[in-house]
Amino acid sequence: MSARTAGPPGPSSALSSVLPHGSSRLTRGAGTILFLFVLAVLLAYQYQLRHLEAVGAARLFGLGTPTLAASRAPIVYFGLGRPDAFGLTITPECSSTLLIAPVFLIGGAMLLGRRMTPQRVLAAVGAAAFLLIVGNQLRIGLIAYLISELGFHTGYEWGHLVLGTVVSIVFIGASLTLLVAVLSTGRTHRQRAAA
Amino acid sequence: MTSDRLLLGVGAAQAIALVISVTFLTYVLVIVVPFLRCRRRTPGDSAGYGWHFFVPARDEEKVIGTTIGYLRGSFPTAHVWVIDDASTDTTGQIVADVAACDDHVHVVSRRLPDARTGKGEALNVAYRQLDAWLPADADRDRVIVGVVDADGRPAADCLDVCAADHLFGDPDVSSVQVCVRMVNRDERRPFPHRGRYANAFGRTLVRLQDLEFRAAISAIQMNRRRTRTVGLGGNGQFSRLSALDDVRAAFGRPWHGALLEDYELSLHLLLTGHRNEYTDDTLVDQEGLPDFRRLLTQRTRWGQGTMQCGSYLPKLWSSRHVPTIGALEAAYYLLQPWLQLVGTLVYPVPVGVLIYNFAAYPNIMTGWFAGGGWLLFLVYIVFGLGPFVAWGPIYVRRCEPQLGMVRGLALGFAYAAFMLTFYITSWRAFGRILRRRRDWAKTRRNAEFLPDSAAT
Repeated sequence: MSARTAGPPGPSSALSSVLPHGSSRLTRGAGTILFLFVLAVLLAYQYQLRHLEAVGAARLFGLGTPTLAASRAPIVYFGLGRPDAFGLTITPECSSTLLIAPVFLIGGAMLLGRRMTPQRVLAAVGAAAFLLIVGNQLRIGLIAYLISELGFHTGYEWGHLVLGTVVSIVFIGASLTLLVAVLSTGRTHRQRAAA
Repeated sequence: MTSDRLLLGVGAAQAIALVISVTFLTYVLVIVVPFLRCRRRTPGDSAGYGWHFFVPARDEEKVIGTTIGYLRGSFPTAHVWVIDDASTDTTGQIVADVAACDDHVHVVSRRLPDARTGKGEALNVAYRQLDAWLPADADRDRVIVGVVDADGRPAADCLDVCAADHLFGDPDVSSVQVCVRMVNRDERRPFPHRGRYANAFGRTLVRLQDLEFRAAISAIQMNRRRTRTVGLGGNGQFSRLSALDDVRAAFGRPWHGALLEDYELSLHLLLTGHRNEYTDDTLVDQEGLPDFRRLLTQRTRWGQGTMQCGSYLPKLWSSRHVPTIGALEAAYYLLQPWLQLVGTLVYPVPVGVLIYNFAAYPNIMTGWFAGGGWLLFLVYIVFGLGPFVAWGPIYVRRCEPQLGMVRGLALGFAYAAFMLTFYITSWRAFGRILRRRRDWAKTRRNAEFLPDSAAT
């Protein structure tokens, strides 16, 4: 993520749920293809998705402070109308887009066997991805808050390099834990069949 | 466009590096807590079981006599089956001499061309010989087979601990792996005829292996007790004969041909519905390797063995006996060497980007670094090294309190460096797989490198 000082912006400033016996080879195949498709979309349209993240951040933090997302670029502006307004550019490294990609890859791999239903895997991957997005939004908000409190340079250094990184690590860890927890809860299709 | 793709590639590599690192960090956090909370359990009574030690021995004349003496002295009711795997030294003669006057010592002789086909095959021969030796009405649930290296020293309470209510005292438990300790961890001069620095390096290597087995691996195994995926090791593994029978019935023979045949046995036990357990209430001593080259060779074998065992993933994944959390744990373990290969490719990317930026924009980068960029390094050091460094103090607290916390911390940092060897050994293992090499020379004992007068 990179930060930029800015005046008022111009228009373009920069489950182990159970698989019903024998019913779902097609469903699992479709699920795997869906996950791989999402993975491809995450990589191919990451610029647009980063812009979406900026829009999301602007909407979320706009509840408390004047914010605006750039119309096309992945930039979110904070403190609009004030002399110390600034913008944060969401770069590929600082976006949740590329962090979500491995989660979908894991999801696709989970569907290769018959242990879990696509619904269970979808729930696990969805929950993990959601947590990653939330974590990144909080990170953006934290950086913006520290910049507004500590000044541009100090706030950005602490917000982006230290606390923001810690928030990322915590949320990635929590996301992976949630993924495993949802995947491993419940019974396998064989156990359900036996019951 | 090319620049965008490059940026995306760099971003993707950094994201993968971050996810792999945080996965490991999370895993360490998950296993540390139960490890620190684990308390010693009450031992049982080994008298209710028949104990049989299998000791594979190939060219072990330097150590086999004392090992047999130790096992017979420490466990008078146990039988010792020494597998002489076509030794070219006097191993066979030493064992035969002892067996001639001790009916609890048995020689399992293997001769070329049917010998030297791997440790697993050697153990299978002993298994068949024990099978033939036992009376037909033997209670095979209460016959326990232990595998001990030719330099192995199970603690005197080992069998009683293994017989505890939560281990073989529980009819559902089929195998027990005992915590491994390095017998030479306090040896000051592992190389008596070499200099100060060589000895300091050698004894640190041995100490780090002790740390690895008694802290990191022990914690992993404790966690596996919950996921029901405890792995068996080459030294200090105990199994009910009936469980080995089940593996033979399902897969043809108890031990198979992977270079990590002990872990492979644990996978077969899992797949046949058996439960493996682990305990650090007792120990088995073995030699740590003070020589870096031999250590790399040993670790390459382990890496290749783990990669070979990766072929069991589909079976584990579809097995009704393996819980999902267990399948995930086993998958994570079996993917480790592959993740290390990926790690060697993606971890240098952020470093490369940094070096490039420093070279291309020295003024900006120097200002960035001095103005707070160093904090990023601090964060990465804490989170990158932390999961390794932590094992030093944990080891001292739980296993060797007399060392003190300062040495524990130093050992932790040394352990972080020690772990880098896995990036070498994983590539070596991968190279061997590509060349379809499955052969292996056994790791030579420390005593083989000492002059006769110094050997014990």
